[in-house]
Amino acid sequence: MNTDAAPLLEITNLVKHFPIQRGLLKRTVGQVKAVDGVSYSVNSGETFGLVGESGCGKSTTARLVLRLMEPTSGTIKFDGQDLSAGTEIDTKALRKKLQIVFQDPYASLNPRMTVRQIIAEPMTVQGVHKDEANARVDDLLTTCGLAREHGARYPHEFSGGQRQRVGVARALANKPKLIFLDEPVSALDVSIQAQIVNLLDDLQEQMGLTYVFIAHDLSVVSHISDRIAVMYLGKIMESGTMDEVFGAPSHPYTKALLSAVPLPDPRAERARKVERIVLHGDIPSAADPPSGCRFRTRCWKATELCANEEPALIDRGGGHPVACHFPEQ
Amino acid sequence: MAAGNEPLLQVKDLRTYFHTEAGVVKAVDGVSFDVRAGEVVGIVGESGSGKSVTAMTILGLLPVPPAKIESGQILWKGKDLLTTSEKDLRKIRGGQIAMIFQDPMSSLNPVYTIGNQIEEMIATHQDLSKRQVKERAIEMLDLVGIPKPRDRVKDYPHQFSGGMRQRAMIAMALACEPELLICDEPTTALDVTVQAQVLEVIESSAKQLGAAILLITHDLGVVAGMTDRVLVMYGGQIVEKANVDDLYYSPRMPYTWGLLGSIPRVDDSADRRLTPIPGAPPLMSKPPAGCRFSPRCVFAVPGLCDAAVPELVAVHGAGDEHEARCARLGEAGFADNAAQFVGGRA
Repeated sequence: MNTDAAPLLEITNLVKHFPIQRGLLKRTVGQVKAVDGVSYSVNSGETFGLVGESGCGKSTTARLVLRLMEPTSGTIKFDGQDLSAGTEIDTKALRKKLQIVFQDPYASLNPRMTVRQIIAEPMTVQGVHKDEANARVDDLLTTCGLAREHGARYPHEFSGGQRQRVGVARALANKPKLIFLDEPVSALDVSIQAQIVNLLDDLQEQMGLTYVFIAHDLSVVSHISDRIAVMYLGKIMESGTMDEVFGAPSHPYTKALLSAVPLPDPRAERARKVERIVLHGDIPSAADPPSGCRFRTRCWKATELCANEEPALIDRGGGHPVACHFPEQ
Repeated sequence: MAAGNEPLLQVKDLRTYFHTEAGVVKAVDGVSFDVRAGEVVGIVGESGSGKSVTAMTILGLLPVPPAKIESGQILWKGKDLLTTSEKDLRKIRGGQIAMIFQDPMSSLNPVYTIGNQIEEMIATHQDLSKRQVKERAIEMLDLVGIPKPRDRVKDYPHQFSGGMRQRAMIAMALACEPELLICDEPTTALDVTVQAQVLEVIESSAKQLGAAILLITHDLGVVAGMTDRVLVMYGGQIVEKANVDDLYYSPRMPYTWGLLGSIPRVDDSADRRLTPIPGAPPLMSKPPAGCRFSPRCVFAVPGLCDAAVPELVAVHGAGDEHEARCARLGEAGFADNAAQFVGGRA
């Protein structure tokens, strides 16, 4: 079994390439390298944040671990079990321990099922007796801040925040060990967003849950995470504890990302604006990533070395791993 | 005409209602504010607060019916846009007042080139030769930082990335040198590094042209960095109005406190707990009695707050033009409650 020292989830060199097919015969003419050699580990009881802009592969990583998609290659170890690419997996047993909350609470709940049916379904699948499942639904509704009577209603009768509570309750139904939270609050208004963030905080404390929190919003991620990895074009650029990565960012991309986030504080904003790092250009296509370091096309420090040689994700003296030839400090 | 201090835009007691099968939705319910030449005014609020409908009403872009402007005036340099003919309105819209929408993909026509669309805008409002129009379009793309504008002007919207499309929209909006630029969630669909680029483009090009900006957003970070004055909307009404520093450092309305307490910050300490606003925003087909925020307000007093809608009044002893809508505003020590939300940051 798991000792305290071994991480709950360990991902090594995870790769997912999507073939680009053209023409009548669907010849493969290229690969979209959505996830291109990602490694990270998540310890039991912590919240691991995965940040990056759209298309960086952060959500794909979650779907690969859950086997909602087949990985191209790489090893995944979860709770002592081998989920690596190519292995046969009992997905039913896996999803009892590993769950996900999706971004869009409108699209991820079946409109024809009542909330009670939605939350009970994962238990039914796992063969839990109906009475037991029903009792558990009542519990889950109250823990997630809904009323028991809400069970009889349909998703359209709820607001976005309440729907996301249903999504969280469903993920909790089979008492999973780890939950992937894929942009769980991005679709919600700020006042509601805070309700869900606090709910997730409380649930983690009560149930000892482990989270992988995926988001593009750095403020939310920084608020909830213990450790964090910054992704760019299918690769991790920098990872470490919150203090290491956001407190003393080493990768130019992390620096630019942090500098771009506007603070809700006019005086601080006026001061930051002067020295704001504004990146030029757009994120290159994942079908044709730049040679060497993927960030070099937008990096103000890039040299020939960056074009020729891809920097490995290693500790370069800053105390945490960073994939850059010329880290800050 | 407009003398030095006269506002460019004056919105007076605007009421825009939607007549739907479910009843009358009071989307904008008595909104008044000014925008002066060259200044940046922000409107913040959550979805359904009426901020976008306010903007659409100013430009006369709402479908009537179901929308109906029940009352109010929208004075553009003293002239009421609500009584202006569609023909005259067309000259003002796009020419003197321009707008940037949230989603650049759905506001650009996919079957025309970017160049065509900017040229159409210029040709409608300015008396220039065909060649001059073409040159002007290229100039505008260059101004908003599109690389190789002479080539890219022939591209179609799908050949542009999200950030470039939004920059093309800005180029189009600014092509006729408007005096007011209305931006409705201009960066909500964009990634944060692209957002920084686009905001910089909006700000610097508007400044260069001397245009005022009305910035509508839910993002309190964007507002903090860009605006001079801020209006906070809730349930179709303005609930607080102040210059940007006063709003963030001495907010007076409990809803504003709630908003500021709800947002996580990158520079938060690890143990800060957010203070969310309980409940959900009101349905504007059935607005609550009295203060629209009272059902969610932890300071609401039964019999007072649910009795009548409080007026938007000047805050005593506060900075210039600071107004708030709260029945308990005048109570001694009430403003001190803000501290538990904004947590001594000010």
